[in-house]
Formats: sequence, C-alpha cells, structure tokens
Amino acid sequence: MAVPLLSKKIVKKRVKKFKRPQSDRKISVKESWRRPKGIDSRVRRKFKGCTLMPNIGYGSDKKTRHYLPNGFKKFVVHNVQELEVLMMHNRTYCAEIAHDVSTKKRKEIVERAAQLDVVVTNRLARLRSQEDE
Amino acid sequence: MATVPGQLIWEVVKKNNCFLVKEFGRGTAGVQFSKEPNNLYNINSYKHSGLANKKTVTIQRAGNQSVLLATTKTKKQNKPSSLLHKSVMRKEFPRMAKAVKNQVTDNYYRPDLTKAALARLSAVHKSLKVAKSGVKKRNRQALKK
Repeated sequence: MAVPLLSKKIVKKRVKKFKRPQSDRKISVKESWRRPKGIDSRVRRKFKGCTLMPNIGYGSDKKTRHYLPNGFKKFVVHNVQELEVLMMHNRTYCAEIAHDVSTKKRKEIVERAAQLDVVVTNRLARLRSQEDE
Repeated sequence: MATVPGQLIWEVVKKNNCFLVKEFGRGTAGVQFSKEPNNLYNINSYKHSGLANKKTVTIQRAGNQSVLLATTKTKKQNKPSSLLHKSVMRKEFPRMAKAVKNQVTDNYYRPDLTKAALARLSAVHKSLKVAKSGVKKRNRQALKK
C-alpha cells in the first residue's frame, strides 16, 4: 500500500451542517442554506445565540483541502488506462472506480492498481454478490 | 509537423485532446492528467506534453519483465511510424538507470526530464517486480511512520 505524502493533520473547523433559519417551523422552508436578507433578521444581524451563518473562515486549510481521511485525494477511474495515469501520483491521489464499471473490469483495475501501488478506495465493491452464489 | 512550432501546437491541444483525462471540480479540486505514453509524469503541461514537444521520452512496460525506453526522432516528425527510437531493456535496475541517464541527459537530449525519467523508470520497475512476485503488505515508508 502506498503511503500518502500529506504530513499535515486534516482539520475540519465545523462538521455540522449550516441549516437555514426557521426551517424547523415550516415545511416550505427547506434546510438547505439561504442567506437571510430581511431588514430585521436577527440571524443576519448576528445576534448572540442565533443560528450561525457560514462564511469563508470555516474553509479548510489549502494544504489539506479536498483530501480524504486516508490522506489521499480522490480520482475517479473508469478503466485501466485511466488508472495508469496515477502511477506517478500514487502518493497524492487514490483511485475510485466509477459506479458503472462491471465486476469483471473492476477486478482488472484492482489487480493493476496493486501492481502500480495505487490505493483504490472501493476495491471491495461488487465482490460480495459473487461469493453468495 | 516540422514547420509548426511546439508552442503553437500546445495552445491548440492543451484544452482538449484524446489523451486528456479530466476530473472536474472547483478550484484545486479539478485536475487534468494526460494518458500519453510519452508523458513521463502524466501531467497535462507544455513541458511534459508528448504532442507539443519534438523531443520526448517514453518509459513503459514492454511485455513481461522488460521496460521500453523510447525517444522521438526530431527529423522524422512527419513519419509517425518511424518516429520512435525504441530500445527494450531487460537488465538489472542500476544498468537500466544508467541507460536512461545516457539517453536523456548525457547526450543533451532532454536534461530537464532526467528526474522525471528516472522516477518513472523506478515506478515501472517496481510494478514489474510486484507483478512477478505478488504484493507485499508493508513497505519501508510505512514502517518508518
């Protein structure tokens, strides 16, 4: 298994969702974030104890942004040729096999990935159904 | 192709070509790799591009337990079938590395690609070794941690 080059610790400043204020009051107000724009809005005026608003300060460190918990960045792969591209990047990128790839081709990709020392995130996918039969 | 400068080809080819593999995303989430065989780092850039440069280096596996080293001939740019100067290496690693260094650097072919060529050679060599004798669970880098 390849070892990630990333030496920094990945810090997420907040992992909770930012919910739209008053989305618990009415079904038509959905949870996905909309910035409050009313003239009197407590949330917009950032009163103490109100719903918190998202802002740029919550962004992740540039050096660890888009990194998975396993220390790699993700790259979606559809076939073996696309996997070969990661040969020289096997310490920053890991492969993820696309959802519409068959079991037969998945096996080929996983096998080649082991040779190239590329980490595959979903290498166990679609294995189970075959063993059951 | 002989009359077309590399920089112009690169401007034409950099945004879309059949070798390009894109992963979309905002900011640094998106990446562009290149599937070209003569792109040592598989990066979509002018320096590493195999289409835009007259002098390129190919290092890939050639069948079982051998590595193909190929460089392009500058005077055969309009004859694609005889474009490559190929050599298949079956020797042990230090001698292969020496051959690569000879072909890429010591004859002033592409000295800027020395490191890339050697790095790719070692990656290819390692993959061949794994293909022959199976995957080992740990490597030295993992032990150090």
